[in-house]
Amino acid sequence: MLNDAHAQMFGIPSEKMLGKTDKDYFSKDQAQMFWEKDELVFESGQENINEELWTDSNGFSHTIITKKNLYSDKKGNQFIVGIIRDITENKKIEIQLKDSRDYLNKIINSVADPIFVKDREHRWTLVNDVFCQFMGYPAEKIIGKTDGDYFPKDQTDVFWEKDELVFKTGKENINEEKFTDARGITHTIITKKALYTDNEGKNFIVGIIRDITDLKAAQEKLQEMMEVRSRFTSVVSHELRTPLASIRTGVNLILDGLAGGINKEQKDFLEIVKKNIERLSRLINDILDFQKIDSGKIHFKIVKNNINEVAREVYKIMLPLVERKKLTLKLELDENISEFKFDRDRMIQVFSNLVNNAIDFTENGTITVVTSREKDTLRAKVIDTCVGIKQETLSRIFNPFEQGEREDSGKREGTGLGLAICKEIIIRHNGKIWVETGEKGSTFHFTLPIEGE
Amino acid sequence: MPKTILVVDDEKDILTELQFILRKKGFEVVMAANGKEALELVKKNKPDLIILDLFMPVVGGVQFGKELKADAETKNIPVILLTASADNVEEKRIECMADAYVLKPFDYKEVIEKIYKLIA
Repeated sequence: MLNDAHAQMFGIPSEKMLGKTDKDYFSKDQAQMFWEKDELVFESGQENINEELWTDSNGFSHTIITKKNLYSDKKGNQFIVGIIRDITENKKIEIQLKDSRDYLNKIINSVADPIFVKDREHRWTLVNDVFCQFMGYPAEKIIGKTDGDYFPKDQTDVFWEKDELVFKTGKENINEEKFTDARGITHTIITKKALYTDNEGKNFIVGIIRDITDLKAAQEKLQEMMEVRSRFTSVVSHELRTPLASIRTGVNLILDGLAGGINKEQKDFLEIVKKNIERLSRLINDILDFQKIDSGKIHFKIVKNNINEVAREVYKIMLPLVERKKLTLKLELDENISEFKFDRDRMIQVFSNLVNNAIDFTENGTITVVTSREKDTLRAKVIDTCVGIKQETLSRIFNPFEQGEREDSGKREGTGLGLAICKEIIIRHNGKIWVETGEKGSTFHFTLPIEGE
Repeated sequence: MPKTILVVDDEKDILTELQFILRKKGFEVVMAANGKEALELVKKNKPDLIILDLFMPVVGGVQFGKELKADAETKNIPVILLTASADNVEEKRIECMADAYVLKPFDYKEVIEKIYKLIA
């Protein structure tokens, strides 16, 4: 006997099927499987419920639950009474649910930060692996529990106060808090909590924790080091310059004859002292300057200035030094360069350092300062005619505390900071600085963008 | 009559040297080791110019400068600021209400030059 639904489901009229067996309509394997269950019921007399797969005539696979019972008539004939329920749709939803659950788990477990969901009673309903590691307990010991099961009351109170705030206001809450884990290690954490309301209107807290313990420690260390550096700078600045002031004044007033006449030898030695005082002063100034520029502490005064005027100013400053060494200093300035924006004092420093280097390395010859304009770029050059710089030191020449060696390997009295300072200044002006060197001398080039004409 | 210069610095060596040089140049010199002493000397000696160190104990350069310029009787006395820190010197000069500054380690000739400029 077959009902209409059976005919509908299988797409075959009942009268056609009556008297036939599964073997007439299904594959051998499938029919075999159906029959096995039939036999089981015949033999045991007990109800059998089985979930099975069945493919319809259109090739669609269905999940069906077949419930089979034994029925014996008065004559002792035995029959199987079967009811089929097509649960394909239910099955699909179940799979989808599992999929999205797996998907969610995959996502929350791939996040490096602990994630949790709490219900209205602060019970954890979902946690990721990192949260479990963070707590030091497996998920099964956490789900259904609350902060109160793991933390002292005062700590729990802090956490719950923020939970309540989110539940009540619905607004996201970000809070920095201290937290002691199962191993007794205290962490500094930032917890971000947001409200989530499900379809039934139930409220949850979705939270994500960022452990900033290491970051915090690094920050504090950095802060400390910055303070030490700043203190060091001020000590160097004040405590080195102050005694140097007395030394310089004392030596100069004797050399100038204010304390009475001195003989030639006394004068010669005092000149050496004086020269080295100047050198030490330069060194202190360079170290402080570099430190300030490097740490970004210096505020550049980028305002309209005339670059040629800067070159002329440097010429004036450097002329006594040049004349003392019987060198020639030449200016080749493009007078068509209009005023543009740069820090005047810093640019004096760049030109002075470059010219000073050239003077140091030139025994006889000419130093030329050139300015020219190419579209929106200033091109400046300081050309010397001394021995070239050794190729192997060329790449390091702009590094702090490195001195380029000249081909004649002569010892120089520089600080190794002049070019590093120049580089920092030029970079802060969005320009470039480089050097070209050859047998006939070296040329230091730099460019500046011409802005704010 | 020689002009009087008040030199204020907690560095005794600098005081000794500046006093020597300034006397050679024909000035009367009075000295103070901090701003508090200096304010008393200003009242007593009425100097024509003050050379002032920035960092000093008790009363520092800034406070001294402000008090000096707040008093109608002393506000016209020119001040040259001495400082060993090269950071924002111009701002410090303005803060001390000084008329000029010289950086340590200074060349004493620069100090003399600035003195002549202020009290020719």
